[in-house]
Amino acid sequence: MQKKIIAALLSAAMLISVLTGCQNSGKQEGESSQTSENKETEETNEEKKSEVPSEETDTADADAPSIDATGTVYDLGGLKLPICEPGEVELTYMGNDTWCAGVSYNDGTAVQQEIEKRTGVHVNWDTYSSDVETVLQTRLASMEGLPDMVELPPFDSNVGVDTYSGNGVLIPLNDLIEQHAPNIQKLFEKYPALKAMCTSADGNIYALAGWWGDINDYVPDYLYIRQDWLDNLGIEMPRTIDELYDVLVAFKEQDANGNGDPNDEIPLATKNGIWQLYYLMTGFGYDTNSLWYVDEAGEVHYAAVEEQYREMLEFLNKCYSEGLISDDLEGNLLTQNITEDKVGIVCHDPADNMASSDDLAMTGNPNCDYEFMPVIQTDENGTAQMTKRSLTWHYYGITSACETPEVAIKWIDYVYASEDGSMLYNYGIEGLTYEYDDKGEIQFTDLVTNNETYTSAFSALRSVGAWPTYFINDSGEAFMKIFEGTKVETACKAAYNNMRDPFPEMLGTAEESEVYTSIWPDLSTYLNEMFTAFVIGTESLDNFYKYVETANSMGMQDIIEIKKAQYGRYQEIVGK
Amino acid sequence: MRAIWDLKKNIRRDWMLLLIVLPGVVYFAVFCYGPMYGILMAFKDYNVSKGIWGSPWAGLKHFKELVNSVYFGRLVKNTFLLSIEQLFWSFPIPIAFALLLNELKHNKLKRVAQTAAYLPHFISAVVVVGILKDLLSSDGGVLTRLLQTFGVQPKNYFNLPEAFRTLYVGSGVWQEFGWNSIIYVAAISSIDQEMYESASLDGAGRWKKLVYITLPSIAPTIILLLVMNMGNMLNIGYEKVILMYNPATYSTADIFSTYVYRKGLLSAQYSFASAVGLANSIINVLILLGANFVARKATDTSIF
Repeated sequence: MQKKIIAALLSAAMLISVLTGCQNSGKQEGESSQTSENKETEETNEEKKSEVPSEETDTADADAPSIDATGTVYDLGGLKLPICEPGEVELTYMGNDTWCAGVSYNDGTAVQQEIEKRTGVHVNWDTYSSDVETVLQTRLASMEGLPDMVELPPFDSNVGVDTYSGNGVLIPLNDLIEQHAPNIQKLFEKYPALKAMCTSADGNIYALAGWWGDINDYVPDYLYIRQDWLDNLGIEMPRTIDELYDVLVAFKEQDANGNGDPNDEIPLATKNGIWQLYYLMTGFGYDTNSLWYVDEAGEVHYAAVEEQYREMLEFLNKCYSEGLISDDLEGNLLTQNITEDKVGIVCHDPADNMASSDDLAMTGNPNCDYEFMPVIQTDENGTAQMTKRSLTWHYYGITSACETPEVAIKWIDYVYASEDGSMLYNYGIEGLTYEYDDKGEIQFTDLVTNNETYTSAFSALRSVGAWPTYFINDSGEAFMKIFEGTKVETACKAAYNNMRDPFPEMLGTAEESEVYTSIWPDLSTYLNEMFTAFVIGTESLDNFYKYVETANSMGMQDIIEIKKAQYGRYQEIVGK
Repeated sequence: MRAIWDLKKNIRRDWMLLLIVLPGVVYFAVFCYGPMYGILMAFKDYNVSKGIWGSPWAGLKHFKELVNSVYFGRLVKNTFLLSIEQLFWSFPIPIAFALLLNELKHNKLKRVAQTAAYLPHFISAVVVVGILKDLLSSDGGVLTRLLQTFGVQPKNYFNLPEAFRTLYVGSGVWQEFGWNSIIYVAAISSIDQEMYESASLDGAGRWKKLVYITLPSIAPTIILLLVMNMGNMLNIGYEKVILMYNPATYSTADIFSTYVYRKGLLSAQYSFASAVGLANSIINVLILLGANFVARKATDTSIF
């Protein structure tokens, strides 16, 4: 039912905006009223049919009778569309371009045009597909030509929010949200964690985090293994770290892919760097695969400087020296090797990418079947669980250069938090990418399911501008819908409610950020470098304690203190 | 009074020459001297909204932070070793190539060889590194297989700290030696042919002509370029290093510019990055002055 309402609203809005544009003053009434009068009656009927809660309709009536007279407005949980007359306000957005090859937001996509049609706000897109971070940093640092809305660098940490709010690039959004953004408020109520992660230490909200909390309840992100290889060799799926070792050895020594050459198998390869093998830490007494974790007493820990971690490094070192782990340390050749039917276990990918690995390998071996491994346990009685992917993506803010912040926040409210916006976001445009069947269920059109250029449904949706990179708020339900009936869906269902929440990434205070930025770049380089050195054997594990000492002397404990304080603040807001 | 009069007269007389030099002056003023204002950032706690001038002074804080950094020693060592090795190989090879080209009497062949040698210059660093990684991949790389036939165990050379400099410099030489030889080829072509003729009459062979005529004639060019190269010694571009290094090779591959990239740009510590950049430039200037001094004393050729 919910969906039907949305759909009706949606089509109503489309019709209205197509016919009359989004004017709200009466100046063109004379010309347009005649042609659109009939349609307007239809609109009204349709709105009634769609059972818009009367309370909301009332508000609309009371607030803006003139708008109602032209029939060009309706209400989305308190947000009124259109936000302005078409083209009256122009905003600029700067950030990442779409992740769909061959398409650019700068050229405009169907969904962007639809958003403009419905909101009336014209957005000038200034997006980049490579070197985004550098471009953004330089532009923000020069303070010249600031966009109205911006994705905030640096991307790998959230210190940018503090940096740019501290120096006045970003404006506080609290009042704006309270007055103009009912849907963002609702989103915050639904996800206190999101509110916590958007709130700076001074209590203000300067930026909105790309929100993955919903989708990542579903999407597992772990190691996956060639089930068909296991079957070929007649071995069971590994569950403990010892079984995993046996499987790796079997992959190495035998002809698992059945091509007659027992030496071309790579038992274990990493995707984005060998340090990701910390995912195996659950095999060494940890409850979950997260470097930052909270123990039962509520203490914050960083695993990489703990004794148990050394055992894992020893194990990995043994595996590496026996050739069980790929020496392609950065994962540059992973795609190629998967395609050539060579890789037994991949560490690590989310569910949808696991399925694409199947597609890659199937070109060489039609039997290829990658499946997620169960979380590796220390022994048979282990109860470790996998950690959910991160709850947030990059942050987005409104800059001080924005002359109409209330329009910007309304636009964001629509795109980021409203139900109508979320339909556009997750499913695309009705009639173009999806339709409702007799039962009111969403069915994707041929454009999505049978696209010649973009063979995966995901990229097909992205090619029209759905699943954007700006103001991310991914829907888990929509994700499941896209992958209905595939192994991705099976994997997601198995993982649902079976994963641990990740360690919260809170925003720092000014002092925290300063300490963090001066310590962490060097320290993380060191940790990363030593992990690699221990595993590939250029550094002896006898030096593990020296390594811990060095890490501490570089400020490891300060970083842990910061994380503790931030975790405390998180707990306060989320109220657990 | 007299001086001003003279100046006016000179301007009127030489206005065309001045006009010609004007774009150069503007270029240096705008792109080289103008941005020097930014050096101030190295001595301040730069804050975007306050601007360079408005940000609070920090004194030598950022320089101290650099020197106290655990990585300082390694950065200095790596940057110098990489520069020196680069200079050692990439400087003489183009000269040798130009001399060899000069000995080719077949004109067409000469042109083909020269063009073929330039071509790699136009390949981007990303592609060069890609090719290199493919050639050296531990399973199936062409070079790896070739070495295997000689009994060398396949290894991933990109993970060996000791191989990094060789790979970096080797690929650099391959890419640039043809291009860098152009200036020497030009210098050689301006040598007076009569000298060679009279040498032939005196019975000098090719080798003697090379040693006694060609080399001394292009020596000023060589020394000039050497001094200038010395001045640029620590300015190694970070792009190619970033493409080539990984945590396993940081110990030889991490240099000032990559450090600045990681810490300054990615972590938005502009003041600190400026301090590192400034320190780098100061060392460059010192090397340049030193090289120039030695060149002037030893050979009477120098930039200034």
